[in-house]
Amino acid sequence: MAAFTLLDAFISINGVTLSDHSNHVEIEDMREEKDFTAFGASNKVVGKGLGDGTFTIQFFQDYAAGKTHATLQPLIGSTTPVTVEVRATSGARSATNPGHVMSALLFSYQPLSGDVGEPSVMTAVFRNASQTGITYPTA
Amino acid sequence: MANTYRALTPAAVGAFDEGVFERDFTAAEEKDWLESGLIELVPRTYRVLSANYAVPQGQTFEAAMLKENEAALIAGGHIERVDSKQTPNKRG
Repeated sequence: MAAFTLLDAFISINGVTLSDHSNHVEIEDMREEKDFTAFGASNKVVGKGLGDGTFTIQFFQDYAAGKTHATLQPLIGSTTPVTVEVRATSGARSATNPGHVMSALLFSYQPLSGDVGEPSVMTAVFRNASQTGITYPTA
Repeated sequence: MANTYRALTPAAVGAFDEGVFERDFTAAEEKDWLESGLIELVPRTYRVLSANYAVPQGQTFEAAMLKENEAALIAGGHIERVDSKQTPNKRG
């Protein structure tokens, strides 16, 4: 797979596909940076700490049954992680279209956001909630 | 909403009931009991109501869902419960 334009990303939240209500996604798989620099050092020495993951997804708001609000609003009050999966395309998982999967909690939900004359878009932020972090299954 | 469980050890049978039982745990209680290994979730049948769930609309499927995940999908209009074929014990 060559470099590509993101046109058909797949977004699934708790088994619900919301790809057709989103136009922006960011996935961050990170490790904490820890400072191991000791006395006498002439250069900083950094190492990795705990892993973390964040999915930041922008959605078009839709209050209809089964759509954005109905799917996301119940999750902001929930303490049980849900599976979030994003793929570059809506095709099946493969080596060139891996899943980006995380067992996650929804930590930020903006039910209404936008400017006059503009689409009502809002951002949902999912954070890692399991010891597996973000995984990249290809099947 | 109560969920359906099965006791897996004599201690759990003593605490709850033999076979399948229903209990309205809190989400934290459910998590603790399941992680203890003393009980397990019993799969339930659901019907898909929305057109954007992982299972096609109108079809039924079986799944063992944690209560908050199930509640979120029911509240969102994605699924509904189909009456269970198993008769749970309602003691306690």
